Amino acid sequence: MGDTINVTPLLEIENVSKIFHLKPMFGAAKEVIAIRNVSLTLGKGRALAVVGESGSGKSTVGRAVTGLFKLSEGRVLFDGRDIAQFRRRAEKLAYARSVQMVFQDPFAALNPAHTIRHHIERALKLHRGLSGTAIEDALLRVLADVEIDAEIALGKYPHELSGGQRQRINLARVLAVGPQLVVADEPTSMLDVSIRKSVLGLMDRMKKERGIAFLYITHDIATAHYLAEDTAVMFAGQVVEWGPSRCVIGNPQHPYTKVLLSAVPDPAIRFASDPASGRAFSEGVERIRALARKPAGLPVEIEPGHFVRHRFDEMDAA
Amino acid sequence: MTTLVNVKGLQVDFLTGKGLFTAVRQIDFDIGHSEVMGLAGESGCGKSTIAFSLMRLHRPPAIISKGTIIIDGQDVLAMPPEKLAKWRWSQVSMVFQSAMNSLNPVITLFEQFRDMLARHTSMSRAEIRARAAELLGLVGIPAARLDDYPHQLSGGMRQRVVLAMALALNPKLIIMDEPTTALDVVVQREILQEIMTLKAQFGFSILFITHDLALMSQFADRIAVMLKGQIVEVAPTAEIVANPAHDYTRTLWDAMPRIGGV
Repeated sequence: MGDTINVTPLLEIENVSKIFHLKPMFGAAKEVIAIRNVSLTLGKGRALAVVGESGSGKSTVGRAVTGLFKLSEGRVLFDGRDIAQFRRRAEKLAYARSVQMVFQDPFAALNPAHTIRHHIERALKLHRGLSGTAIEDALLRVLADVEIDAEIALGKYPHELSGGQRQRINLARVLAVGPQLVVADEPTSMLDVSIRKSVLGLMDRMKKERGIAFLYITHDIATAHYLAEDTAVMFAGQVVEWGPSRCVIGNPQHPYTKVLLSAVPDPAIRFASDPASGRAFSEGVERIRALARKPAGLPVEIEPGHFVRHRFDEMDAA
Repeated sequence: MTTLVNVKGLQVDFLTGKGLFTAVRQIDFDIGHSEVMGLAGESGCGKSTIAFSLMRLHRPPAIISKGTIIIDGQDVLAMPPEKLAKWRWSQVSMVFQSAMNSLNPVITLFEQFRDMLARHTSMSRAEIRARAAELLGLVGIPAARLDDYPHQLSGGMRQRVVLAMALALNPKLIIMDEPTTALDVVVQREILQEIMTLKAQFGFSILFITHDLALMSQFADRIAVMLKGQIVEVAPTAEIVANPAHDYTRTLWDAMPRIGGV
């Protein structure tokens, strides 16, 4: 993280909380604290992985960055400027151009009634103001960048492509806009394991060659280090551990991080079949979840840049 | 270990506008009693087609054009429809891909259990309720949730309910078609651990289908690797992990994101 200290980070999330107020048709209204006091920073051309299970609030962080809702508390700074303060249309559009999203479901993210050409052309026209032959050139370039054969793909409809190809088209659309930051919300979790690595590799190249920063949201901690220099682990709306990916993965401190790592499929370890140890895993996970759900304590620095927030008084078991 | 399932020379064709498309061909494999057989391969290689064929759940335009399927001494392909209806669930049951969405959203869990148990057994309503509560208990869900609707449960819990339903009539074989693909890794691990425990308790066999070779290695006794509708390699799990014989198996391994290497 040393090289980002003196320059303004591209993205700063400062003490952000989001409370959703649910008013069901029947029954009492209730509040859901989706994220609480989340602070993260991301430098230009770097990638930060936000890892956590379903419902941990990691997607809410991504949505907060894209400005899809008003924050309950805290602020999001992009290039040193608070995104909630963008008032003029031009400012808002410029921000929308700088921050693009890639969604989990490659099937739902493309309009089934339009060809691939339409999807990418639209981005080039609206965001880059290109026309005529310039569009044609740019089209071929972005498709070549995501390793899709333009001749075959341009005239096709989304349903004619595989999931992996569709996710590449989504990335091509992002490239066409030319953002500084991409919020990738589980971009590989609906893809076959066998093509995940190639899509991760593609994002890594976009980062290195174009200097595009990535906020990579995932539940699979094993994929984090393929792309991200830094990793933050979230549980129940709080960031419980963060730091350089190799430290977080190599030397996990928070019990929840350890659970995430132990759940990654490892061909060398067979599942135990005796009932006792089978239940033990589930119960252990439940105990750690209950602990991690409580408000986290102050951050403690384990090694340079690697922080963890425990509840130390209850941590003796782990 | 004696054989429970024996599949020989299975070929499934799809009738398309452009003629016959052969989805899977020359499939031979067997599954022993209380064995976990894994079927691995990428999307579109025919894994699910095989799963559906085993229970004769394939629908037109799919047709089984060649081969035999013998499960527990019975020729599945020769079974008359009424017998087949009774045989499904009671002898062989299936946990579908995205099983969380295979529950009916407008009826309670109890009604879903009743639907199946009333058709296959002559249990009374009270007996069904007791049995359903017992089954939920097996997968770690309190019986109080019986009157909940599927949307009131998390994805992992719904998956457990589907699993409990698959266990209800003590089948000899459970086919699991990507049972945990839509879940996050921690919940996935919890559920598979649960299945292992139940298998030790009841001794059913499992045909486990997934594209995640690493996960499968933790779970299966033997693994068959599929490519373009054919089985290219069948070996005990340890062999597939340590010493894959086919190039494609090695490719699958290399494509896997792992915690250790980059």
